[in-house]
Parts: sequence; structure tokens; C-alpha cells
Amino acid sequence: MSTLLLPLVSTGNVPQLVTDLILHSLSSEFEFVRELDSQYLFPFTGPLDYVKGSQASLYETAEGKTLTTPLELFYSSALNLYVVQQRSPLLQNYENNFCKEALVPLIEELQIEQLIIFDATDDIEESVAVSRLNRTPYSLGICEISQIDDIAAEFEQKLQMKDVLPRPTNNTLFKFTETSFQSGISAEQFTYKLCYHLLQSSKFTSCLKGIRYFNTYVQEGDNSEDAAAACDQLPLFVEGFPKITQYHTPVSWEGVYGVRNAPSSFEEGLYI
Amino acid sequence: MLFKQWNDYSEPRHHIDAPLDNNEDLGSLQLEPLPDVELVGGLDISSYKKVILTTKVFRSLFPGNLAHASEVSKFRVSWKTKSSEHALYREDFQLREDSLRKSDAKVLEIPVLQINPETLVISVAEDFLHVPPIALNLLSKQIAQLFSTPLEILVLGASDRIEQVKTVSYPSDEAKNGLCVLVPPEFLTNFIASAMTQLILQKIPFRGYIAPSEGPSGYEKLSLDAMDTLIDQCWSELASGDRDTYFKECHRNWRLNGTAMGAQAGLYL
Repeated sequence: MSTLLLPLVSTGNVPQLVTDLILHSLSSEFEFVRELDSQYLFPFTGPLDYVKGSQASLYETAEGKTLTTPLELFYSSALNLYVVQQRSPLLQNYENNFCKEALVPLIEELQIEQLIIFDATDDIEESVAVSRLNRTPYSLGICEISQIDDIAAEFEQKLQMKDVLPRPTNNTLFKFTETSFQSGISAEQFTYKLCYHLLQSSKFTSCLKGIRYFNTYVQEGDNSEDAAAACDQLPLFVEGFPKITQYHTPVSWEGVYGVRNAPSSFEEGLYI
Repeated sequence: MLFKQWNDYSEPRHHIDAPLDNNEDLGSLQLEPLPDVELVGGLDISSYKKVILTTKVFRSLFPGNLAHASEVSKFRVSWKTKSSEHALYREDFQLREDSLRKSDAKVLEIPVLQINPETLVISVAEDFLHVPPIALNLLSKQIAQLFSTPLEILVLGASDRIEQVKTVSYPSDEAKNGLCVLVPPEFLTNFIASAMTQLILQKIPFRGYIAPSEGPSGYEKLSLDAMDTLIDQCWSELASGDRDTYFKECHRNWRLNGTAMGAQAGLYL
């Protein structure tokens, strides 16, 4: 089953960090496919990332490539898994354009059967939060498109909104697992917009079978540990995804949280 | 003494330093209209050998050239800002007299300049407060399409993530003239990053120099060291006459334009 992993730029950049971990820890399996159109993202260009001391390069097959762009596509034939790395945020107000003109055509072109949306949050809407004791910092929502028999009839129902103040939410599109910390999604979320445009697309039924929404609850700070922990969850819901025993972090992570060690002494009013 | 963080709310790290609209309709599922970008008057690029893509911060590197350059064409970017209600007041009565609802149409024109018979320069005036990033992304796309035929493309940009002048090139990656290439986690953003991305997407070779800078997009300051390195590189790139004269003119321009740090008697103003 061909799968696409889509990390959203969100709290602590955890989905991006997870994508980095996947690509660089399994760099022998993944290859760079191509740059994707990024006109709806903030401009970004940077040098190629690599793991210190590692022979395997993610960009081995990309001859002449010297710079990375905001949106790139990678593929592992062994896992039949496409991974998108998004390196800069979406431009405000252009979420719908990005979904309709960039993501939906990509999903159709790659004949994706399973879409996994990776998100992170530090503030869950009260109207969709679950107040149960057994909840974990992870949320997994499953939307099986095959269960929608008559799209025209069920479309309205599946995307129906509960106009709960202050913000409209949707509790029917995704079926969340028992241990999830949320029971629905907000209509203001990017995920809702993407699902709307996907379900509206005329061709989606031919290939796409399901959408999984994986959300992780984090606080901003050094989120590298959160990323590793979230990455450990992937084999639970991505078919055939291996358990990564040793994580390799790329060189770009150095200095992101400061190049100096944490101060250990306090002298004359200064941390040294 | 105890230092405490006193602002409770800190902006999340994934939010970007750009002014955001107060958009109340976050749940909208409608597509947003795009700015229009057009090349006014067309342009035959077959007679040119080189094009320089840069931002206004680097205008001092073209002393005399830009002033005497001829405008061969221009890009016109037009967009509409969200309608806003302006209340009109009469000063003597302090009473609201009328309210005016208008949707502002904005136009940005970027000239394509010819500085010598073989060289074109496109210098974009970045302004992060008034020009939406989508406009610059679309402009980059048009520029990349225009220069898709074989032509030497040189980019001059700035980044606050580097400490010395670095080179960039696509597709080869050889350090030249003793300058280093970018290494992670360095990166650049704004118009030059957008232009480079579009050139890469369309597989158009280019090379360029990225200078360390400080300050917001469009209002960057460069250090004197970075400036000297850039002048050195640009003199050989442009082959513009006597070296000493070029140096002096660039330095003078730089002070006049206020783009160099330390140009204002040692104060950051």
C-alpha cells in the first residue's frame, strides 16, 4: 500500500524533526525524488543536510543538487512510503490554495492509498479535548474513505460541523482511538481544510483509501526528545514501518537549540 | 538578584517574523486570490550574456551603473489588500463625518535594468511590512521563466544566519575565490531564497554570493568586512574599470545609503 507521510509545520516543529529522524536514520532506504512547488510557503534555501561521519547520503541519487528548497519529496521503495519534508511555514491565508493546487494533485499523481498527516500541538481546543485519565500525549484519528459509500450523500454528514462556540469543530470525520487526547478536529485546522479539498476532488476514490491524523502534545523547548518519542509510535499505525533502533540526527540540528552547553554556575549575577 | 522571564506569552517558534493579517475567518475554505505579475513590454534576452538578481540593499555595488542604466523592461506586481473602513473626521468639529470603505489596490514595479550591453540587473526593493511574500514568490517564478534560456545568472543576497560571505551555486558546488559554501544549519530566506528555489525547480544553473547581515528584510545592515569582500568579488564580476575608483565609489555609496553598520558614527540608529 503506497503511503504518504505529510508533516505539518506546527508546535516545536516536531513533525519536521520526526521527518529528519526518519530520513537520516533510514537514509540507505530513502532516496530524494524531486523538489515540489513551494510558491505558497515562506522562501527558504539552505545547504544539503547530512549526518556527521555517515557514508550514506540522502541525496546520492540527486546529481548536481547543492541546495535544499522548502518542500521536497523522498521515497523508500522497500517501505513503499513517500515522505514530504516541509522546511518553512505556509503563507497566511493560502492554506486552501496549497491544499488544492499542490497537495491534492501530488496525492493523485503518486496514487497514494494511505495519507498520514503528522501534527503537533500545545493547546488543544476545549471542545474537542478528551478529559479521560487514560489519555496519552498522542492522538490518532482514522478516516476510512471506503466506508463512505455514497459520497454525495455522506459528504455533508462527514464534514458536518458542530457550531460550538467559540470555534466550529468536527467530530465525525476522524474516529479517534481510545487513548487519544482529542475527539475531533477544529475547522480552523489545516487538516480539516486538506480533508475537505481531498474529499471534494473527483479522483480521490480511485486510489486513496484512508487518512490518518497523528497529533502529538508537546511544549516548545528542545523538542528533539519529543521527536524521537513520536517516531517510536510510527510502527503502531504505519504498515510495515520498521522500529528504528538507532536515531541519526542531521548536522543541522546542532546549534538549533544553542551551541553552548547549559550554564552550570552563577557568578556576580550572571549564569556562566 | 534573580532574573525572571516577565512576558508570559512567548511567540511560538514556528511562527515567522512577518506581520500577519487580523484574519477573523480562519475556517474559510475559499481559495485566496493571487497577485498578478506581468512583464510589461516584453524583453528579448537573446542579446544578453549575464543577469544579476539582487535586492536593494546591494545597490551600492553598482556605483553610477544603476543611475545611468537604461530600463529595458519592468515587472509589474499588483495585488489588493483587504478592504478596510476609514473614518473621516473634520478637524474643527471632531465629529465623524463619513466612513469610507475601500479596498486598496497596490502596485509594485521592478525595473529590469541594462547596465552594459551584455548585462541586466533586477534589483528588488524588499519591504516586509507592505509587500506580501506571495508577491515575491510569484515574481521569482516569472523571473525564472524569463531566464530559462542559457544565460549566466548571478545572485547577490543576504542572510542573518551566516558570519562571513559565502558562495552558492547550482549545480556544481565548488568553493571559489577562497570563499566557503553554506553549511547546515545556515540558510537564507526572502526574495533571493525564493528566486534560487524557482531556478532550482526549473533546473536553471546559477551562482552567487550571500553576505552576512542584520535586521529585517529590506532594511538589512552589512558589516564593513562583508562589504569589502563583496566589493572585491563584484569588481571582478562586473569588470568595471579602475579598481581603486570602484572601491572608493562603492564605499561612498555605502555610507550614503546607510546600509553599512558603523556608518552612523558608531551608533545603531
